[in-house]
Amino acid sequence: MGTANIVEVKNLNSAYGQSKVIFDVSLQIKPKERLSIVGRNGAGKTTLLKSIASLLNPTSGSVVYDGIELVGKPSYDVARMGLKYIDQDKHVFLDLTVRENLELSSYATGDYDWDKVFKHFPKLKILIDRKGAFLSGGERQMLMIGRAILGDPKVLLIDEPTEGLAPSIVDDLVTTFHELSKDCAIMTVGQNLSFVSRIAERIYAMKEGKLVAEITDEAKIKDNSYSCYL
Amino acid sequence: MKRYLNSWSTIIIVFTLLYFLKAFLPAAFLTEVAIYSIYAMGCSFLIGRLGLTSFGQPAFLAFGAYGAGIYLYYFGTNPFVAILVGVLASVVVNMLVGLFFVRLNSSYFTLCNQAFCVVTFFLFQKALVKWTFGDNGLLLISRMDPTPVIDLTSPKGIYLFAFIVAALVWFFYNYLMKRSVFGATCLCVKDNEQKLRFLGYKTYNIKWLAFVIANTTAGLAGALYTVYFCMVNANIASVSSASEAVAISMLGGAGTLFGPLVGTFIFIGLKDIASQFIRHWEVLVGLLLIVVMLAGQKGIVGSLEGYLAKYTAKKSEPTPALTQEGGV
Amino acid sequence: MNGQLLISAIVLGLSMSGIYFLLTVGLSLCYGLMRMISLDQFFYYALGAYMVYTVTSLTGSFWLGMLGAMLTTLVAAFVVERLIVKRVYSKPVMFSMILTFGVNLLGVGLIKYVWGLSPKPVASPISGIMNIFGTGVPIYRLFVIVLAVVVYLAVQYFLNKTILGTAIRAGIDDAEKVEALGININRLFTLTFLLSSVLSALAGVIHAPFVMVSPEMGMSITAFAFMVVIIGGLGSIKGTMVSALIVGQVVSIGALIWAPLAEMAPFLVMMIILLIKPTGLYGSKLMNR
Repeated sequence: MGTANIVEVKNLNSAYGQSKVIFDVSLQIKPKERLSIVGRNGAGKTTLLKSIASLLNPTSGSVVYDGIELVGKPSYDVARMGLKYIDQDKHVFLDLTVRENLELSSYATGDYDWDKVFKHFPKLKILIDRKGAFLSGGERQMLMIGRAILGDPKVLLIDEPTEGLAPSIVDDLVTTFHELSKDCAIMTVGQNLSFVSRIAERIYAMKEGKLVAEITDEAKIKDNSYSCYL
Repeated sequence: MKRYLNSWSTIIIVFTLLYFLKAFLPAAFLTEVAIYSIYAMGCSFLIGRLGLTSFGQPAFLAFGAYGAGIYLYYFGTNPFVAILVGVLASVVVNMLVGLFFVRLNSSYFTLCNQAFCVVTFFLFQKALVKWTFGDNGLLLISRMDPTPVIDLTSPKGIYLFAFIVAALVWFFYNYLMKRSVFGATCLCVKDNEQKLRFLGYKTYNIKWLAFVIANTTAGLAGALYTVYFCMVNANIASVSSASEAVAISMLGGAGTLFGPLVGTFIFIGLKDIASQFIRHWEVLVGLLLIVVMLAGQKGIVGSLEGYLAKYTAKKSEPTPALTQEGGV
Repeated sequence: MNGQLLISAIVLGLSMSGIYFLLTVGLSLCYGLMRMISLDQFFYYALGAYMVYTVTSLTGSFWLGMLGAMLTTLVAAFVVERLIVKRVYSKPVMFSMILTFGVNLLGVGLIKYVWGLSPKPVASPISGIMNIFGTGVPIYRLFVIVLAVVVYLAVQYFLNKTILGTAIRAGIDDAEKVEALGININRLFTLTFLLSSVLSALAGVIHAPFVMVSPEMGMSITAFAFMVVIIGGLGSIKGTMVSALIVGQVVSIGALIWAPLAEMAPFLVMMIILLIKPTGLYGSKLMNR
């Protein structure tokens, strides 16, 4: 069967206080696809993700996830329904151990099956009693993704996944994202075009708060030719 | 409209009109409004321009009041000199206290101020009881000599003087401060202190000076208070009135031109009327604070200015109220 | 100095520390998690003291009074939270401070209506005297110290060993991330607020036999409570405990030297500590925001 969209964003407008950031954005996320939004600094990528995840209240428009309207829902409900947002600042709870970080996520979702986390990130099992403050950037990113996949989300929104990470870790992330997308859709936003080329099946280019292009052609994605839209 | 509202002639007209209100309203009430509005102006400046809320204003009122009171009781008889002494005392105290307080972030600032208020209360009530007579206070009736030009010992004289001083204070804050680089930097401190620091300003000095100026205004009001009531006791620094200045500022609209004046007028008016009907006045102050804060914290003048701006001007600057940072 | 006086001053200081700790741990938790300064805690403190007075004089049992006071406060705090405080969680600190100060004033006024202005006595439930190094010390004071220690341990256990406590610690770090995990942060806020107010009420209850219960009692303890949270650093439970110990001793030993020092000395201590560390002893992490 042709895949129905898991997320349907229609005419979304969003603002920080008086300044409008997102203008009439419409997009779709298909189940289990790897989607990327690329754009320069200040194009409104983060605002868009936060608006979709209900962490910001859009001024108008609608976000339908799995047949349910998300606008106006508290973000914790959205997360529990299986649409999770992963912040760009690699902020794990510094005072909490890896175990406690995972426990919190389990408590929120009722999913205590940590094996799938360790399947993707075996290293977390070794670090289980280490506090967040003593994890490296890559380990923090693992933990953030690891605790997000508890509760079997259908969509992961990941903000700048490669920012501040060493190249070898970025390579691991590419593999991980391919693995993860067997179970859920992944939408990343970022400026690291080589990374995007390696993971994305579809790309939206974003400029000044608007989506200016959609790139689905595999060849075009591979050779970075979409960069002309930025 | 906005420009018109801010001009110095408006200040003179408003205060002159207010002065002649004595034909309709009791002069005692209006004198209190004039003195209290000076007090509120300092607090409103701190909130609206610097983003610092102080629940310790009675302390700064008290230093001015006791400065004037102790001069009149022990040293001299001239009320003008007493007011000067009160202001000087308050400048000295503010300069010292400011050194400590302005280093703190805003939450600590508020708490420290209130703690300071309690300590000041005990200072005047207990520690210095030999000189201040604690709760009984310094009684200054017949300790002041009549003065030439404006006789501060007569109700008429102090009435006129209070209005002149209030108008001058208004002129100072809304004409001189608003138009100076210093006034602008103050607003920047409230908005984004770090950026100002990157620009090369020493924000500590700016905050310190603003703190001294604002609280010296309170001290001036305190000195006027002593001269007007011919007495001062430890209750002037009581914590239970700690919120009054903040309540008035928020009621009128912090940072607006006539906010403190309107706030004071309504606050003292309500107090006089309501205290005839209800025994415990703080219930009303509490309710007032809650309502003003929940209704959008712009205060009466702030809201009115908003409406006025909508009707008259095409381009209006947003009313300064408490900073409300975005979610970033 | 007279050794007996010193010992009894130290014990009194410790029991005052216990009361300060119970009162300020709520302030500190509320600031840590919700970034709000909840000045209405002082109303719950006074309410607790008045309820223990009322219930004790009706039933004759201080312990029933303690229970009654905590339950009443729980209800009162819940109403305040639903009607007022809930609306300001996301607002800047100034906002909650002015608003809750309003709640505090309103509460004090209502107390005056209900119980009048005259101070009320509450008899100490434990009347015995214990001999410590030749000094007679009221057992009730020791009980207060023990109670405070128990509460400290319970709060530490709750924060470190239970899932809700873990969530609160995570929220103190970054509330938005807790929300992004799928945890209902508003429910955590309510829980913390209620916990804080019940502890404040408990402080009022156990303080009642030391002093006369009066409408202004909440106001007169504010300064000490503020000094405790400032010296310890807002948002740190351990800091609150340490600084409650310091302030308690400074107050009681200061009073021994010269009565007005009871109020002045902790202020001086606070000033010195702020001079060295503007965020208080344990308050550095939180001040980034």
